[in-house]
Amino acid sequence: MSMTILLLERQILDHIVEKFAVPDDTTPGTGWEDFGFDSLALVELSLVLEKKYAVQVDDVELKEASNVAGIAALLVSKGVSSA
Amino acid sequence: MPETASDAKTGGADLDAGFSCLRTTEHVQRVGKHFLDAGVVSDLVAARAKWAGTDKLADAYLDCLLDKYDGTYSYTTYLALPVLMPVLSGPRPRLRAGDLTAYLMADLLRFELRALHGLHDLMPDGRPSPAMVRKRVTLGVRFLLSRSSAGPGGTDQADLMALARAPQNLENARQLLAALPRSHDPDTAMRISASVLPVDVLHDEYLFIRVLQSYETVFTALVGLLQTAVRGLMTGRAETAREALTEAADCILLAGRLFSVLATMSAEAFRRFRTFTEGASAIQSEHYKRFELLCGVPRPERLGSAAFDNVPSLQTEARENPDTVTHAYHRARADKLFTTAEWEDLDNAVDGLEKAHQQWKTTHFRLASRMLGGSPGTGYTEGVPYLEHVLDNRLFWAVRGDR
Repeated sequence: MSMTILLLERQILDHIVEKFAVPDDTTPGTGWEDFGFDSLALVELSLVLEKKYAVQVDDVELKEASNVAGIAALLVSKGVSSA
Repeated sequence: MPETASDAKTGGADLDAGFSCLRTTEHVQRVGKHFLDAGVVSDLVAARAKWAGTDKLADAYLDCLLDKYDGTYSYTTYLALPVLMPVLSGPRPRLRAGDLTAYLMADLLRFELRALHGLHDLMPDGRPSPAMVRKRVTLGVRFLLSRSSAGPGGTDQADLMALARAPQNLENARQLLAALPRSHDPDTAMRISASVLPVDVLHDEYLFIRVLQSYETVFTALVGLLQTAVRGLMTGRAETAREALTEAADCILLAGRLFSVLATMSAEAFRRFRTFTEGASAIQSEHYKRFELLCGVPRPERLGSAAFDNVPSLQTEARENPDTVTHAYHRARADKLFTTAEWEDLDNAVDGLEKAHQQWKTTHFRLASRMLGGSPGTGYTEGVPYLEHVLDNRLFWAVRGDR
């Protein structure tokens, strides 16, 4: 796994744990449904990601990404290296 | 100015209440209701006194606009509900609630698109970035599409979403503006256009008002559905009751998507304009409380809380043993009106509505937490802690023991 993806996973995970009050033991592979992420949370997260990484990403894409690892891969596919 | 109020004073025969309402609304959207010039207020007061009773729309409009002057400012007048909601009432309502919600959302998207391309200068402070408009338009169009299988104006859904994802393109914006639904009834169109009376001139207050009006519309629809459910339970029509309860749950779940649109509001803008909305709070919403009461009489502590203190007529009604889903459910149980299978379906429908409402409250709480932080609510409550506290309330708390 590339350093970029690992770094992105870490950054996204830190943000989610801090801002969305998810359990500390959440991992990049934990699915949204496991910590009760609803559609609003995904919209909020998309707003944060767009601002932080200057990339267009919508909540539907985040839902399909399933988890933090999926988001990191999605961002890389959109040309994000890291913040 | 005051061209608007002066227009209204040109004589009874010349009083085009609708036209004046529109021009006055534009002025309010340029200065903010809280910042109306004393001379303008004076002219509006004089116009209202002179032409009272001439036109119901103008009467309702001026009462909402002058609420701060009159000392009647509230959630109802802030959202201009007396201007807007008559389209849903009366023996022959002009619109169904779902259609009004769509028109409100479409109007919001028009406001966003036209501001993005410099086609209007209303509520000019704190314009969102193009990226934020794209997000807002995408979510708004998705909400509209979720209501029906066909896109607004017969446009293909995929095409519409593609346009929504690039609204910064002027041609895309033009196509979207043409495709968004609008009422062709002049009175309805007028009421919709005249029902955004912001306290300030911040762009995002338009979004805030339209989403809150949409929720009022949703709760009006829920009241109708619950009345149908009560009648079904009382007359032995289990399927009618089940369908109404299920549709109510679907209605709440769909409405929950409006929170996603509202989530694009700038918290900074919200904190600024809410300084001038003190005294107007969703806790005063009569439609929401009527919906709640139709589910079942709330527990005494809820009935005696600030929420119901704000609507004393409903508080009184609640204490007079009204017809509710819970009451009708108990009677139907006692009278053994339905089969075991029918009860199972009804219980599932009741649970579904409870669950949808809990989800709606949780999302509301989360969004308010982000927007408000630790600030108190504008309805003289503790704000976010209040919303957290009411998460424990249940619509059908008295049904459970009867199963």
